[in-house]
Amino acid sequence: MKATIITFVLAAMLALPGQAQRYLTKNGNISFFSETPIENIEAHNKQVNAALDITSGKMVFKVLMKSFEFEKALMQEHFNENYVESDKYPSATFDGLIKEIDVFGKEKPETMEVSIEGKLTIHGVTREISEKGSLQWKEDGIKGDARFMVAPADYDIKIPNAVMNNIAKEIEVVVDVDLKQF
Amino acid sequence: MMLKSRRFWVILILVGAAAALLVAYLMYNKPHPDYTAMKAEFQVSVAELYADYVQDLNSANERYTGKVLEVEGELHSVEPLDSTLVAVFVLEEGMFGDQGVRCTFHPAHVPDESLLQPGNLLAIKGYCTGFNEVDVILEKCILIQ
Repeated sequence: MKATIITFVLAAMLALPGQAQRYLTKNGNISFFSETPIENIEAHNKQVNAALDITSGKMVFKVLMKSFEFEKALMQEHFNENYVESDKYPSATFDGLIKEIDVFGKEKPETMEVSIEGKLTIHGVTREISEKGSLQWKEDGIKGDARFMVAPADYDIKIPNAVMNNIAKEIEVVVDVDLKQF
Repeated sequence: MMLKSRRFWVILILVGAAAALLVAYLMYNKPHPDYTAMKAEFQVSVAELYADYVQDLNSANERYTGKVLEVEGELHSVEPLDSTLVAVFVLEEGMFGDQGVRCTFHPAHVPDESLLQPGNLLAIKGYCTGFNEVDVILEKCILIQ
C-alpha cells in the first residue's frame, strides 16, 4: 500500500504506548461560508473522515474536495476547476493535536473548550494553524466542533479579478464531527 | 431616415443587453449535473476500483475521480446518512476498521432497504469524488441491479 502522509499519522497513532482510545467518523461535516455585500456562498461536505486519539490528543482529518456541495452548480464548478483545482489537489488534510486532551479524557467534562494546533493542507499548501474548538462527551462517543477563518490567499488559491468582490478575503470554516469509539 | 437608423441601433443594443443578461442568468442558475442519468465512463468491480486507488493514487485519481462509475460487488452493510443510505463494500480491514468503497445514494433514488441485504451482489452507478486513504467515495448513486 502506498505510504502517504495520513497513513503515517494513523500508524503513529496506532503505535502509541499505553491503551490508545481512538474515535472515528466517516461522515463528518465541514462547511464553509463566504459573505460579501454582493453574494453569500456556502458549501457542505458530509463525507469527512476524522480520527481522534484521546490518549495522545492526536487528530486527523481527510477531506475530499469534490465532495463539497454548493447550492449553485456554477459555483461548485468554479470552486473545483479554478480555485482549489481539485483534479490536481483532490483532498485537504489536517493533522494536529488537542492540547487539553488529558483533562478531557480523565475528568470527562460534559463539554470542554480546547485548543487545536496542527498542519492544515489545502491546495497543496501546508500551514500551521492554532484554533479553538470544543469537545463534548456523548452517550455513543465524542462530538467535536470548531469554527475558524481561512484566507484563500494563504493557500495560494487565486481568485480572478472579475469575481474578487464576490468572494470573501477570509472564509469561515465550520467543523462538526460525531466520533464513535473504534 | 436618421431617426430610424438611430432607433434601430438603440433597439439592437437593448436586445443585445437583454440577451447577455439572460445568458448570464441562465449560466448562474444552471442546474447541477444529473449524474444518475449519465452513462458510466467505467464499469469496474469494487475490488478492482479499491485496489487501483491503493496501488497508485495519482493514476487512479486521473482515471476515476470526478467521473461517473458503475461498480459491482458484494454488499457488506448499509448505513443511514441524513435522508439517504450508504452502501458499504468492505475490501480489507485497515488500521482503523473496515476499508473499501462507500456509495451514498441520491436522496431521490434511495432503494428499498429490502434490496440492500448484506451479501447481495449489487451494481451501483455514482459520481466518484476520490479516495480518502480509507475508502473510495461514490456519491449521487443509483442502484442499477
